[in-house]
Amino acid sequence: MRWLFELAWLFIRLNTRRTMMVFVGLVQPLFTVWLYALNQPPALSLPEGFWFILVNAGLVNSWTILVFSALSEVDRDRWTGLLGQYLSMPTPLIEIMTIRTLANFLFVCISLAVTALLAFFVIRPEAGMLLSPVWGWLLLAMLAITLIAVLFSMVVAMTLRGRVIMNFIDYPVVFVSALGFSATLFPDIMARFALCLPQGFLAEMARFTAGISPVSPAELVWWPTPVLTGFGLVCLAATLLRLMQRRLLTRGTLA
Amino acid sequence: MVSKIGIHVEDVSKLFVTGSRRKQAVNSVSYEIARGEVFGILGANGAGKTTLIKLMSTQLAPDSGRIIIDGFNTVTDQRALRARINIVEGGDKGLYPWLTGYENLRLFALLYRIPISDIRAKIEVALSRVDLAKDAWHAPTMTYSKGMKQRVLLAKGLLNDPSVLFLDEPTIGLDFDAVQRIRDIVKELSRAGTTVILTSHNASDIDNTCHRVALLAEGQDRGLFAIEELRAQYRSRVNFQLSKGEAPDRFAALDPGLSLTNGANRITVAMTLDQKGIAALYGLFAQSPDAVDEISVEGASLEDFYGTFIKGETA
Repeated sequence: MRWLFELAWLFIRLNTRRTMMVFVGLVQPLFTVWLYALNQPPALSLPEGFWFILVNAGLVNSWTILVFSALSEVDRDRWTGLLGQYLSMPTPLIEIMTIRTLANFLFVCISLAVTALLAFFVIRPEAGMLLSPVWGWLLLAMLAITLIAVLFSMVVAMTLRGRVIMNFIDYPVVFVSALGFSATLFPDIMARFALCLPQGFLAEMARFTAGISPVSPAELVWWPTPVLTGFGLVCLAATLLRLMQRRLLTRGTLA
Repeated sequence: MVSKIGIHVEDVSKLFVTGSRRKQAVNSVSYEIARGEVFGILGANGAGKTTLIKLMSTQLAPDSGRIIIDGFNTVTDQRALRARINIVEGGDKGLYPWLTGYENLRLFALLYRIPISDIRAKIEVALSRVDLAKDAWHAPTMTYSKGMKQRVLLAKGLLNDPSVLFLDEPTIGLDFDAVQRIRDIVKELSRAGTTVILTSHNASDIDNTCHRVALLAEGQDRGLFAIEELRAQYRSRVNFQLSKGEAPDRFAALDPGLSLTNGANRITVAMTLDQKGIAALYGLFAQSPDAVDEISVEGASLEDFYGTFIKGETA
């Protein structure tokens, strides 16, 4: 048992040492609750809002664990030869991957618990209201899907062809995760920026088409914004390239 | 009675098929390797060295033939065998950059099923043995230099006290001190009875550490040589100055292809000789020591031999 705990803990450490994972696991729950407190969707009651936060945070967490932890780490292990080394160790690969999957899943659960705690202190719903079976089942389903997705991604990341397949799955997952959370919940300037990004715009369009949102993104976005954003990005990229070029010419290195 | 042979590689082949591309990575290779032997595998890139290591270390299964290590078959007795072997791959990869050197080794020690109560001591001994500075033990490996990472990887190879250690290009990209330390550790392990299988395309690694070397080319065995025997065959270039009036013909018996360059007062003689030839030459020098001056011997090495071998393969 101690062996299992120590191994799982080291795999969790792999996540907590990464900036992206710290952001997703700790900063992102705080951010989700803060956004909710800023713009409470009027159609949602307080307990529904509680679960809304939890499920949305969960979706983002699940996706991040899927893409950044489970998939990219195993993929990285394949390229660096670690996966091959695992094959020459006395602990079977299937056991290593199962423990790693559970560790990643535990990380999602810890993050969700942090979100729930924060949401509870902000919304303070009555205890009885939290027992809504619909939201409860949704949360359970989400956790189950996460577990399956993490396991699946770990297995397919082991082969080159599997990695290609996962690329086709990553992006829909990103897209679907954005469906649950309207960009209009962001403060105004952030909402405009989010809607200028292709993923945000498409997710909002899908919400409108599916009848989830009554407002089309065309009505939400001031049309020159994407153009200006695009222009700004080009200028930024050009400036960075010039800086890189100058640094290379003067120092001979980008380090 | 315990067999002196630790590893039997019996007529092993491995074919890789990727789409329409077929690559015979290892083709009917057979070796018998003694316990405690340092066995080198030398070959160019793509010769099949790493595939052979992967076959021996249970990472791959052979298409035909079999490999027996310490009495365990690499295909049917994998779990028992894996506890007795370890593998170190060259380069600065193979570690988790976000974990410290110590944490990486703890992770590997757990996966090697080392009893938890022994792990701390094993890691400390291994890290001390590879001379990793103590203040670096608890720093993330992403902050390590290439040499430091290689030291941690070598420490990983020592964690489970393996009876067979596979080293796949362990000195790649390392500075002289680090290379020397690895060579010393290999010799220490051999003295302690550990069999070491070393692949390299750096002939001097093999020359300095191995008892025998197998040459591989395109997956095929191109010869197995004892290093001592090879050394006796190495031919060295010998140059010396001979006083005018001395007959250089007597040296031609040792090397008919010797070259003579006439100077004002002396003749410069250049010869290519093996170890026996050099001994005979010094015998001739002793007969007229005053006639000979400025003797220089440029020793040949396994690298020269390997270069000749490669030329022969590509000719």
